Amino acid sequence: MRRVVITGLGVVSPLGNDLNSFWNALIQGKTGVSRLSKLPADAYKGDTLSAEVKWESTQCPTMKGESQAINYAIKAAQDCLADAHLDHITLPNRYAVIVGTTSGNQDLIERTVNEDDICSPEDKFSAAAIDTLARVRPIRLSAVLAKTLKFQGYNMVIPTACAAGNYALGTAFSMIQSGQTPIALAGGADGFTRSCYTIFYRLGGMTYRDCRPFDQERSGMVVGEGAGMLLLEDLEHALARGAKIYAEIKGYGLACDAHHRVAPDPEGKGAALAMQQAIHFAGIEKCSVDLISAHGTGTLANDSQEAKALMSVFGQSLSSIPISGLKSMLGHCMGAASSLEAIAAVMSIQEKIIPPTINTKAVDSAYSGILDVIPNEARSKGVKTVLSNAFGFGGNICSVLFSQFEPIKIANHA
Amino acid sequence: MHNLDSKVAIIGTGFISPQGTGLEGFNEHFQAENQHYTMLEFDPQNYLGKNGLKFVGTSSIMFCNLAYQSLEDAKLLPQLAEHRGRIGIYDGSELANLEEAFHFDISAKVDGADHVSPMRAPNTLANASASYFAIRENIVGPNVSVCGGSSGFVQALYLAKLHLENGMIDFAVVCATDHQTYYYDSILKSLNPKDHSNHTPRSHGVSVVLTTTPQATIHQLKPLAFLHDLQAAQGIEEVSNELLMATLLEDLPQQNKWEKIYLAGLGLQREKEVESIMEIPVPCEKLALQFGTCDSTAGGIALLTAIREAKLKKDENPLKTSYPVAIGVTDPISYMMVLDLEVIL
Repeated sequence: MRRVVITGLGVVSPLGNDLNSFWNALIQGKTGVSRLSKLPADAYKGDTLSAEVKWESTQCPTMKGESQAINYAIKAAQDCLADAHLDHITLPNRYAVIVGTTSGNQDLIERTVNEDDICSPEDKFSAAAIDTLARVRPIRLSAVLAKTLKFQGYNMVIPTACAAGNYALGTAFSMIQSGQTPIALAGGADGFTRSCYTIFYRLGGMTYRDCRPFDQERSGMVVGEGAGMLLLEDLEHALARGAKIYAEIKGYGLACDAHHRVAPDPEGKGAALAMQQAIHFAGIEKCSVDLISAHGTGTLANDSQEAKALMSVFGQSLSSIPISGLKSMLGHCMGAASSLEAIAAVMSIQEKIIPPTINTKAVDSAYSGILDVIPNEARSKGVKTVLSNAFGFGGNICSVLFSQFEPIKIANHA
Repeated sequence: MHNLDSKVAIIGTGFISPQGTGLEGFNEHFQAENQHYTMLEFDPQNYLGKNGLKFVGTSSIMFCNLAYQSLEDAKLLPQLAEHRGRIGIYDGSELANLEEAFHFDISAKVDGADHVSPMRAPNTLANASASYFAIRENIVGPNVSVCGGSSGFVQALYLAKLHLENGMIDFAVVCATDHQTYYYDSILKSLNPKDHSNHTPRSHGVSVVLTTTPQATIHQLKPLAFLHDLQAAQGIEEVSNELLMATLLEDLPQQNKWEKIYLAGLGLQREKEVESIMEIPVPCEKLALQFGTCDSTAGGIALLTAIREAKLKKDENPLKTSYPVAIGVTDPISYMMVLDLEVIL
């Protein structure tokens, strides 16, 4: 069976738009959360927070007419390929592009509604609006990327809500493992949209203060945006071209809560199933997991079910496994969330540092002493295996296992 | 993990359109003198019931009906509970949430954030259909939505096949829907403003149930067809979609066995050009006009057409045992997929 390694990383995030600024901000416990600026704050009651990308700071040319998600994804992807030193793409090739997203090109729908002043479902579009709508089809998110990078194989968009980034990684892993392609660019991308912000506002999921995963006094999540791209490569292909190997993907698990359209199973059964399957798929012992990158939204419903799922999978040993909740700093970047968390997981393996979970002061008494949530300051620790969780509306769940790359051991038959 | 002797088989199908439901409804498209364009009943078998329809988007209603139909056709409905962790649900619809996304945003803009219905929120997400069916049937296996434009159905087939072959699941339900709305029609116009007269959008959907041959044997399920191979390509240079499609088809190993190639999707206009480019003498045929615009459903409707024609060939020649064909689907963004299919007679 082919081994799949990670050889490049690219980031557009509320904490910075390149790998170094992103990682440094994470380990310094900085926050990407601030006052809402991309929507009129007075349209929402109470304190309005968001985790927004400062795109202007990238000085990247914006692709005219394309969605924010496509622009973010292209920047992250180009940085990712540069990081992987994959400067020259040989043609023809079968390289794949897999992009996870929650809202896709929804901002173009909103641009149409605003610019044409659509006020009712009966209103008709202008010719200019119809031109904008040409770019709404979700497939553009992966196909424009593939065309830009000259990746000629499979490309697809996986819109499995907040778990989409991990879904993309798992799919790319399977494609390489099955020999479909030696290289796949995978990750997630989402731009800031009125619909997404309004959904979480109306569902009562947003915090009025800050995001505190697993804290006794948590009050909710913060809507964010961004893109995270990882280059996945067949090990032999990576070795043959002398690529730097960040880490290896060992396996992943997919499950569905089958419980509720916007609420997780309170017992965390789907989450536990996905984690168990990832561990089984990877063929490792669960005791070898030494860092858990939690979905950790900071909502009561998520934190409670994730804690129960973790306890059911790891039992007593859970208290000795550090848990990071990066949404405390990044906000919840939707389809990009788990791909950004994947990049952080890989960096923890590389740099032997675990970023903190900021804002969390006292872990909820229901699992105090059981969850080792690293508060406020990064922890230096060698990390070999990371389990990263991602849960989405509709009960879509994907857990991915990242591992330190161990070079091939050649048996001595002499 | 994958048993090399194992094949991925189709064991059930479902279909819904204004013309009718199931294979009978599918055949109606070829036999009826008048084609119907407006869908009056999105859940013709009343699978969801009145309560099930509450706050559920139209595409999700169609999806649930299709998934139910194909599971019933595969004779798997009585065994769903037994397999619920080993069934994957796959949706290959490109714009299933489009109408709901527009309505939700218009409401947020006009009525204000405090007045939009949170009950409609799930319908704005592209994974609403597959996850709603999983909730209805308590299916906890992989739940995957994928957007591949006109390749959507075939893309979903590919992911299901990948998961069957890597041992994640034993059964897969694969569906795609196209839902005609003013918004969808506007997008079709925007894709090809000069050629809009050729597009007759309508709501329709197609589904199949897949398993592996060992599972089919264990559960005594009859394969209707085998999925031998799938491939994909993204056009990136000044190469026509017809040339790229021909090249992709010729990469498939079983090309010399094919009796026909079915071409579908919004991105390929000249099927005879594909035929003339290809070195093997095999007829290429576009989807019948009766189906109107087939976008995400294109590959599925081509697949049902192949199954239908295989039965007609069996009537002509009772000794015939299989009907090997290829299906090619192309999106206007020059993304295309091909499927090597063998219909069993």
